[in-house]
Parts: sequence; structure tokens; C-alpha cells
Amino acid sequence: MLLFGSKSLGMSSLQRTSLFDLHRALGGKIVPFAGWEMPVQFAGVRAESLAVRGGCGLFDVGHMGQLDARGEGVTSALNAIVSSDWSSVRVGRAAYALLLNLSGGVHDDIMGYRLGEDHWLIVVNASRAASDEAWMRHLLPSSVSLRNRYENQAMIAVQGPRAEEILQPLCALDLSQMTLRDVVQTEVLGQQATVARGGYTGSDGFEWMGDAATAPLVWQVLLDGGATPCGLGARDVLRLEAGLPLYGHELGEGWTPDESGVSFAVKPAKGDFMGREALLARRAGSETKQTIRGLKMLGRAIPREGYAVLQGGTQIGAVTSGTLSPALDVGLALAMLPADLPVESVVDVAIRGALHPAQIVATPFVPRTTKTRASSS
Amino acid sequence: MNTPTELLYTPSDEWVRDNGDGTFSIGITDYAQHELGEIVYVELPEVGQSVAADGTFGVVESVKAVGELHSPLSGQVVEVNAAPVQTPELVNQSPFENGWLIKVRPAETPDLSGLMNAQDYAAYRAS
Repeated sequence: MLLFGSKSLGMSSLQRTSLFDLHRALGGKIVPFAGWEMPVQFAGVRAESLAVRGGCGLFDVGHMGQLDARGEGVTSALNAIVSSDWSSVRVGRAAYALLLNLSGGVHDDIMGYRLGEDHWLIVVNASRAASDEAWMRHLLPSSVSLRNRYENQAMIAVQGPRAEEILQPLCALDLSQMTLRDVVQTEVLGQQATVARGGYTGSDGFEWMGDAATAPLVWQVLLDGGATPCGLGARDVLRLEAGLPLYGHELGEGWTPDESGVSFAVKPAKGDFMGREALLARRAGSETKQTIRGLKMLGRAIPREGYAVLQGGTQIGAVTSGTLSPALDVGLALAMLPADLPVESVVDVAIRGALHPAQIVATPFVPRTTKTRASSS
Repeated sequence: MNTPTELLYTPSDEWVRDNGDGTFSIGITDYAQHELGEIVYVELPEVGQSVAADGTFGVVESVKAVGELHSPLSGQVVEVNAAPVQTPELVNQSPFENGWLIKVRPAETPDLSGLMNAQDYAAYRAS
């Protein structure tokens, strides 16, 4: 047996969110993750992910880095760093973007929430927070103040079809008026907070961002309202079912956004930004030959990260993330594979020396039920 | 944590039962099934295959984790329990009884002196 290695690793130097004691009291299994002690599961990954698809799940995502950028010219200054066009993002809206390195690879994927004309909240992967902050500090002009919220940050994702119903009683604001990527500074339980509609599960939901001291009460009231506590295990399963990439798996320094399947987040026409020239040079040099594809197993074996993918006995790529999907009850994977493999092609995944057939399928595997403007009208 | 006294235990959380007829049954412990969580996939060898002491003979998987199965002894697989392959959660529900995994017949009397008794295993996992 090879199990979660939490016992063997010294966790003394790791950080904890303000929800840590609540997680332990609820029986959460705590593991080290990107410098933090985080719950990987509570009742079980399957039960938790199904709760999100059919009801409402709560995720502590307070480990993610929060950077507050404000000052005159902050939008154009950030726009000269990130890959997507943040100058076109209106106040009260959020946008996904990449930080590219100087060879056109992906240093991180981030969310920017435009809170005011000259005010952004930027949420970044925990493992990249320090370097993202250093890059931005180096590149932003002195008119912009960049402050990390690490000492006081908290973030709770409320996800699933019942998220609006369960979060609404805590809020002064009418959540039904919000659609995907809307963000509002408001009060939740009488405390200052930022609320956004969105998440990382493919289901409808919200993100609450506020002070560390407020988070335990918000968490507890949402649990009392009927939400299910969920760990990072379920979060990973849900994002995979939704076909969403994860840094360190589908995204990395060595792969371009085209290879990682996130070219939609790159807008070279907007003007210069970090990594733009290198990416354009790489695009001019060759067509994208490999990209992240969806795989659905045809048998019961479960694909895992690193497993080779073969066609006609020759390796053509490898799995970047894999799991059993509780929603579909079948093994699913994202894999770096030839871009020209047609959908419905059958390939083999090498699992412990045996070949198991799988089909190339379009993603998301599980249809997204986010509340977009089109779906809510 | 349930730890039946008539069994022997590996440090990698398998148990062995001496069936008294020259065969030994192997499964995973209550501790292991609990740590792994809901088991969703079980892969076992075929009858007739050989297993080696400390070698891997299959996996039990949860949604997020793969647990490799290590054989406590060398021998030939003489019986495979199809029930947990069909219904993996049986290993969670009954790790020592209905959720047993394989029966092995060693060529000669196996050396089980490296295994733990129930008391030592319980202490090992409580530490």
C-alpha cells in the first residue's frame, strides 16, 4: 500500500488557513500542499464531488495567493504583464490570464478581479505566489501599490446548484443578479468581503474572499445552511471533469499556452506583454503539434498522471491528470497528445504494463453548469 | 482500528492468514482501507501467476490514490476473490473477511518471521 504521506513529512514549517481547526474538528484528512496544511478530503472524495454536482460543497482555498494592486494606471500596467486583455475588463468583472515566461511558456495562471477603476485583486496559485509577486513588483511602475494579503487572506469557494440558495441568506446583495465572472465588494454576515460568481468546478457557484478572522464564521454558517465540506481531492476531480487545466499538470514553464490548451487566454493583438514575442516566435516557427486532449477509458482501469499513451504500440504522449469520475463512473484523463488526433480515436493507456483502450473525447467531460449571461437570460 | 489476532501483518498494511491447508490468504488491513478511503477499483493477478515476497501483485485504488499491494510471501496464486473486483467497496466494508484478495500456495514453508503480530501491528500504526 502507498498512501497519503502526511505522517512521514514534517509539517512544522507549513502555513495554515484560519479554517484549519474547523477542518480538523470535522475529521478532514490534512496533507501538505504547496507550503500549506490543507484538507484533502472529509467524508470522501466521491461523496464530496457528487455533493457539488447535486447540491453545494464548500472549499477552503485560502492557500491561494491574493495580491491587491491599486493606483493610477494599474490596469494598463497589469495589462502589459498578463496574457489576456485586462483593459477590456470592466469594473465588477473578473478575467482569467496567464503569466508567460520569457520563452513563451506558462509561469502561472491567474484570475484578476477588477474591483475599481484603479483597483484589482489578483488570485494566483499558492506555489507561484512568491514568484508572481516578485515579477509584478519588478514590472509595475511606482504609481502602483502592490500588497500581498498573505497574513490576512481567506477564500472560500461555494460550489454547486444550491450555492446561491445557501450563500444568499448571509448576503445583503441579491446574488441572483450576478452571472459568471461578476465580482462585488459587499458585506457578508456584516463583514466586508469580496464575492464573485465562478469557481473551479464547472458547476455554478461563488467565491468569498475576505479577512482570515471572518472566514471561520462564514464557513460555519454555510455548513449550517446545508453545504458539504470538501477537500482538495474533490476540487481536483471536479476541475478535471470540467476539463479545466491545473498548474503543474497541464500548465508549466516548458509548454506554450497553445500546447496547454489555453490559447483563448492569450491576446497578442492587444499590444506587448511579458512573453508575447517569444510566444509569437514559437508560433511562427512551427505549428502546434501537441496539445492537451481529453481521454475517456473504455474499461474500468483508472488513468493516472505520468501513464504513457500509445497508438499502434508507439508512445504518442502521456497523461497529465487522471481520475475516476464520480459523476460519470468512468476513468478520465487529460493528456498531452498529438493535436491532430481526431475525436473518437481509440488509443491505449499503459497501466502497470498492460494496455487499456481509451477514446479521445471533447472536454468538458461533464457539461458545465456555470451561470453565464447567455444561460441566465 | 480492527486488528484480528489470528493474522500476521506487513509494514505496508497487508494481512496474511494461514489457512492450514498449505495456502495463505492475503488482504489489506482495516487501517489501510480507512486511510485509502472509498475504494473504487481493485486489480488482482490471475490464478496460476506467481507472486514474490515483497513484490507487487495488484492495486487497490480510491478516486484519488493508488495503493500498491505487496505480497508477504512467495508462491503461486491458487484463488482470486472476484467479489472485490466486481464490488470494490467490499474491501472497505469487510477487509478481513469478504474483502480478502488472493490465496497463495508457497512451494515450501514460508519464512514469516519478518511479519508483525496483531499487537505489534496495532502499535506500529498507532505510533
